[in-house]
Amino acid sequence: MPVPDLHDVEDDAQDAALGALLARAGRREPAAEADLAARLAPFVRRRVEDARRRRNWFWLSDVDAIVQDVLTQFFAALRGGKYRYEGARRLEGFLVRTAFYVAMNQKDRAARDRAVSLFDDEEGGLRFDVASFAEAVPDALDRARCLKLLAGAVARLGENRREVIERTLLGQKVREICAATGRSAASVSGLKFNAFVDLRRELEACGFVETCGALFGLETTP
Amino acid sequence: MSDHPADGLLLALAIDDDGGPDPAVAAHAAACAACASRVGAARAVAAALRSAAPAGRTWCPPRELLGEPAPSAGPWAGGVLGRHLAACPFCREDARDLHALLTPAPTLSGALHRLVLAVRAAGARTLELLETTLAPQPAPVLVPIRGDASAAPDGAVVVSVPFGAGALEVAASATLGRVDLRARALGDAPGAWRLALSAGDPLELVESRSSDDRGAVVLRGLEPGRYRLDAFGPQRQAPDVSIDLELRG
Repeated sequence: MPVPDLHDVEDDAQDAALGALLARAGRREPAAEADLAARLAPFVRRRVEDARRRRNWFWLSDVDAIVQDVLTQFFAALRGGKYRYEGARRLEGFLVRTAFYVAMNQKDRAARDRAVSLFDDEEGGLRFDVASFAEAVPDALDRARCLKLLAGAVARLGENRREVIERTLLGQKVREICAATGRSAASVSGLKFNAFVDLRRELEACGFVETCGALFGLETTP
Repeated sequence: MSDHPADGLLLALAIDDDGGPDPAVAAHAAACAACASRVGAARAVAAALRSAAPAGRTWCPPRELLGEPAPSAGPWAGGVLGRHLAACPFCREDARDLHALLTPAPTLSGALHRLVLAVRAAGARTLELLETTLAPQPAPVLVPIRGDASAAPDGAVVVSVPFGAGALEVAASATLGRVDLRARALGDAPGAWRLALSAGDPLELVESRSSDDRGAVVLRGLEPGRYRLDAFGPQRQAPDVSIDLELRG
């Protein structure tokens, strides 16, 4: 019986055939491993290419590398007994989640040089508010209270200085803030410098410097 | 007049952002207690913000929690995970990425899919044949853009020109006798750029605008007529793109 593509498993017999193939691949039979890879790779590639197109993953240049990583991790889990076949749908879910982690690792490497916009393109409106972000941090984290103090200090700044601080927290450089706000580089640089100086005063006044300075790399003496 | 450097110049001493500080500014700050104090304060805050920045992902839950039911115990239980996903732009992007992987676009099956592929391939071959038989068009000196009150709100794309490693797309639409002009950088074109619109003889500047977050510039309510549109990449004094337009209401 020919082994169908992952999506074409619609009845118990096909499901059993796929399970048997996985069992043989788990025992490291070369032919079974090759057959299984030939079936899984197109599925993973389709999903990754589809997501890349829909989500504009411009940071992803090599889809084949992602597919290879996913299969490597899958086979390692299969051989190590960490994956047990429970049907084609569960297998799809495992592969998709593995592809997610692999893709996100690559996004993280590219993200070091990327900033995020202050506004949400998909849902519209402001996508980041430092006060809401601070309130959403688990209290169990040691620095959670410190983040709330910082957010309070930022909230007490004037509107323009608060905005430049929030954009800085999102990773935006001066040139990106200029492009987003239409201000000149000199204007943004001056605004940012004064925002930092003002924020330092606010952080001192609310006790952040004394209680949280060491945790956040902030010296206690200016 | 102050003897101290401008605040914008002092910023370069506090952060490593745009190419390093001016040596003269650095020398002043080393000798001036007031400026040194302000630079020190700014530098300290810059360090704190780097530590606090959401971009560092130190405040975020493990990615394994995304797309799963909220945990019943632990630091992310009790609605904390949901509030974080609502407040963290980076986790929201991750969640959307996961959703895109989990929910593929619908596909055609079987014979219908093969038929669509065959028609598409035949169409591509036909277009390729046409392209190879057509003589190249000369680049237009004056590119007319006709406004159309019945056009879609975004207007029709009339011209797309190379801009940097990408393209600049210019579209226009007319409303009540005036014209709205939209220019957008695409692909690998500079994300941050400036538009200058000039008119008259001799040319006089009508509008100068920097692009927004999306790499676009929108100018509304322009008088119909002939204009020169210049697009400048970052730090450029001469335009990278220069096209003549005729806007009709």
